[in-house]
Amino acid sequence: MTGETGGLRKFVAPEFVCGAGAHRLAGQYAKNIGGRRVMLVTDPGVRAAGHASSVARVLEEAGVDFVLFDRVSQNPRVEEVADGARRFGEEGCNALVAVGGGSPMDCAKGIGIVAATGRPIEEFEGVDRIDRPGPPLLCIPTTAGSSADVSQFAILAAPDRRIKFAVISKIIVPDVSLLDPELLHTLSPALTANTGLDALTHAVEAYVSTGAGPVTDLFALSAIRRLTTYLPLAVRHPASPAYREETMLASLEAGLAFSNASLGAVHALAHSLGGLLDIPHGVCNAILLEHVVGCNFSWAPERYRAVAEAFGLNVVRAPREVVRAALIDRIATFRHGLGIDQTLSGCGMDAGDIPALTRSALLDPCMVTNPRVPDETMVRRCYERAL
Amino acid sequence: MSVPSERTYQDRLRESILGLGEHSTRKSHYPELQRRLDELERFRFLLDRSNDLFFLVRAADGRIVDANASACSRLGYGSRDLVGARFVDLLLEAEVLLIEQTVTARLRRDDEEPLWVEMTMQRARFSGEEYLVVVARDVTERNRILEALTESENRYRGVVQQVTDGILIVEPGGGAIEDTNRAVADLLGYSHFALLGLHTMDLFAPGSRLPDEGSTTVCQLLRSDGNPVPAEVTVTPITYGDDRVMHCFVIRDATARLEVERVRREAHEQLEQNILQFATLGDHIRNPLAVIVGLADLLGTPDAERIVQQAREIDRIVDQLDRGWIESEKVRSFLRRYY
Ligand SMILES: [Fe+2]
Repeated sequence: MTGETGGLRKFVAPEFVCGAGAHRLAGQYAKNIGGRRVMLVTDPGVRAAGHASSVARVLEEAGVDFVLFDRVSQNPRVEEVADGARRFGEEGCNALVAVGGGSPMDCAKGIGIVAATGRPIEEFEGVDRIDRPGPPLLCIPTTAGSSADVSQFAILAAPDRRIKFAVISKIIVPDVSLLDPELLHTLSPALTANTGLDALTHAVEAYVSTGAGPVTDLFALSAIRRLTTYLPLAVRHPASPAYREETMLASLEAGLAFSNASLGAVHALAHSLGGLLDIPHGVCNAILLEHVVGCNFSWAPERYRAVAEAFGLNVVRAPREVVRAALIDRIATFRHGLGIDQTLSGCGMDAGDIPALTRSALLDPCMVTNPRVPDETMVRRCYERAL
Repeated sequence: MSVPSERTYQDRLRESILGLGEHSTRKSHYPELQRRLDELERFRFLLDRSNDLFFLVRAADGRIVDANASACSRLGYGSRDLVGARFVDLLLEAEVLLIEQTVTARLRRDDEEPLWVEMTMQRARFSGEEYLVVVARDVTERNRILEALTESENRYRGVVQQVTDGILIVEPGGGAIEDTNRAVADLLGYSHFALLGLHTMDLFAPGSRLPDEGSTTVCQLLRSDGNPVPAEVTVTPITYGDDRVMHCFVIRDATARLEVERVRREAHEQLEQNILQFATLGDHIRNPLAVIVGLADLLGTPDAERIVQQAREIDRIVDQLDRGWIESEKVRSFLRRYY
């Protein structure tokens, strides 16, 4: 913590409503935030699950006109953002409602920026680059993991450059999030696990972040505790409303923590990897987490001790090396228990990719708050161990 | 009306306190902003439909920061081309530009054709910055109508100037001369402009009465050299301009006509005199004839009988002449009546 503002902490969160049936407030909220003709941003999977149409029905009932936009891929692309922004303008929309996982929500954030500024989304890559607020954004998450519904992050892909880049700004924190566990029932066990592990990574990285503060700590540790207990149960009992609600709450907590404390090397490496391979973000994180913890541990041992305790490990008085080994083992066991036992090479990565991936990861804004100031050796080692 | 049960009321109150009420949303200026934007859009629509050209010019650098659709279309530029341009670059020609005064100017169209406008500038201050609001009215059409009007007026003026009768437009009651034509100037020996400086009375011989409205009178007019000119003057009231009633004097030179009348009058007088002489001629002959008949009777000779016979023949001839005089009297009165 250096510099004049080193000790200052800020917390920005959207207005959120959580609980069963929350998504039925979409019409009322769309109206209250000034929406007259809204763009309903979703993706084909979410449409197939019927969530887009149930939100559409709620909007109709409230008399809010909408335009559907579902051309969003798993890793939303710059051209999809541009396409959406063009339609947003052509159709005379004035607000955004995103229904889905991280992809439609990130895409909706991008659409809002481009619609407001008229400039391509690539120009806003980086931190605090947006000087004009977009139209209001209401998010209805259908996964419990990305937390894009509460975060200041939008991760977008530029396939022609084979990279994923982050747009980070408090201006893109959504206005409203309606967290409804009822919408999670259709999530497959694999997707539940992927997204849950993404949330777990958010919580861990936010807690050890150099930007962490007392408020984000509360949310981060609570999220870790909740996920370690309920994520395996939600994967095993997909129809249980109680477990679904716990994972949704955990995701919310993790989101509030990482949106304000930011992330670290796991996400930097995962973003870099996501530009190369089209593998789910949660899987990338899950594979990398234990290795990054290994590399970072000595730079924030007491923080990691608290993480280990939140994971349920009794390490209050244990020597640091013991805590380190126990935590790494616990994380690995946890993800294997959820069926995530891939390696990066298994996902299609090659040792030859490492130099390029390393270069790109070192430039990622998430690296800024990593407890250890990263260098090439550290990043390369993490990739090699996860290969 | 049924009174809501205590339970429902409590439920609703609880919902509201938890922020789940219909209007319970964190403060946002967006809905109000949208309403204002709508108003702005409506206003913009009106502004764009105006025939006048509107420019908002930043005082600091003279650059146009906004212009309405008419400004763009009338000058032939695209909707955003004008923004950022220097306003003076649009001015081909203008009178001295003064704040809050209307001046005539020519603006540069995209195709280099000039656009005639009437322009007014006003100072304005928005968000702490000085601006000039320029409102320009396209006067091309108005100028075209004015030209057509002038041409039509010139045509009528030409006709009025070329007729041989003199025409004077004057204020009633012998007032100022408002307009006149060439025939008056020629008749009285004034220039057109000298006439416009005179009063009606200046054109009439001293002591003349002005002709009455609606009448035709022969008057003595005065030439510029002081000589009188007889003229037949007809006065007609006319409406002149918007609401003024003026007199139109139509003046015809009467010199030639009066000369003809004089000759005719003299001929009549001579004729009348001759007829009167003729009428007394019979009586003049009959008197000595009666003496001749009386003397012949005194003679009592046969020759006297023949003398009386011849005298009666003469009397018959005189009677015939008397009857001829009656015919002549009829002719004379006919002549009097018709010539
Ligand atoms: Fe993530």
